[in-house]
Amino acid sequence: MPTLAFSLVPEARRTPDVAVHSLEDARDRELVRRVANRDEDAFRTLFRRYGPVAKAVALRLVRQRFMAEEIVQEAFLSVWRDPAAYREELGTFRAWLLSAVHHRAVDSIRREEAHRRRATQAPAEQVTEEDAGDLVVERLQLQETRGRIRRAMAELPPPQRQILEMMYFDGKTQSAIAGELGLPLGTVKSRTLLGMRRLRASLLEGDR
Amino acid sequence: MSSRLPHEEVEALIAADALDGLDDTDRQHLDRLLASHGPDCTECRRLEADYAEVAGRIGLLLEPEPLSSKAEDALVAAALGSRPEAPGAPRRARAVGPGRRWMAVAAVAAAVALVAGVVGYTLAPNPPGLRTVTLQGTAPGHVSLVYQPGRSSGVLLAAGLADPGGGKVYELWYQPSAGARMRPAGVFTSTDGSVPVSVGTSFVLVAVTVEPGPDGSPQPTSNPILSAAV
Repeated sequence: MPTLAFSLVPEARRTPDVAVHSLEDARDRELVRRVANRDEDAFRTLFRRYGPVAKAVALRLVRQRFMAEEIVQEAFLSVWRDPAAYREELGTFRAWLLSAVHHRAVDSIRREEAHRRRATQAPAEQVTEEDAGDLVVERLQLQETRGRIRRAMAELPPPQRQILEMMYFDGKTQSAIAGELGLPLGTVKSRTLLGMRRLRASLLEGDR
Repeated sequence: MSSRLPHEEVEALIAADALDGLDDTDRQHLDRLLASHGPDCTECRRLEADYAEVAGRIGLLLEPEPLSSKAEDALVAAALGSRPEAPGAPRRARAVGPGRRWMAVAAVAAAVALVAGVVGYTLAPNPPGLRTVTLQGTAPGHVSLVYQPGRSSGVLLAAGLADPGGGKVYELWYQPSAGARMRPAGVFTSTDGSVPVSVGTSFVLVAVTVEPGPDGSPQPTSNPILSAAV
């Protein structure tokens, strides 16, 4: 999807060289600006739009619904308290938010050694293969993005995909993955880089 | 310096860090590398932005999880620092005593209303039309309300207040118009610092009382210790 060459920001506040990845991205940025002006409705809109997927990310890692929701709440509260922490030049709001949720969830499981508890928790949910959430996705206008990500992941060589998935969805470090798969750490690192480079090319080049 | 330095190693670390996959030693190594390239290294910033974007998008593969029914209101209440008010919920009967006290308070406060500047505090970069009102009364310490006419959100700044004690809380109230009943704007226990409050889009009087904790009261149950007419 080509970058849209427009901005909703007044000229005086416009930041040069800020790519707008999509119409949704432009809308999100406007909502964040309104949150900076303490606009409760904008805050609610952002939460409705991204709370569910943020919870999915957190739940995937911590495996406990109440904890996942707490992490999402903390992440959104952080947006309310310091909306300037999201800087438009660093990408889309939704990617930034999901990364923030991911960081918190990973911190949580590493802090509490949740890996050891997993056997007693709910089974892991699988990465969506069938798009059963179409209605939700359409409402969020994320369908195309999800399709692109799914295709990009599917095009990765399986050894690279496996490592990226273990890192993102299971919250494991490269050392832990090397130990678990019986691979040299260097191999894990090189596969991580190659996989991420491919994703970067697939997902972001079209934005530019 | 920066962009002319090699980026192969830093790219590998940034890519893994975006997935939260670095061990502590590698994370520290990344910090050192980024420091050596400097904050103005455009290539480092570009790599960080791109890989953060990639990592964030991976999360979109997951099926959205429904949030609990009260999650949104709980979040907003936490954000505003006040409990949510159910729309259309019946209000408790107004207590007689405090009502009269508020009329007297309004008269006195109108005479001593102050508008003070707030130094170094902003709600947002270049906020248009912010106003500040300082509350005065019998309580020690300093309390100011920063608000923006036409918007319902504000921030209360407190310094040197005494602990309300005994499981009690401070509660801020606002009066939308002369003679109207007082509306709750938020509770707080902090004696120093700031707290978001919800004061309505316009008001003629603000005041603070001490109320039972942790949620305060729907109507004032005690004399105001601080107040200001606007």
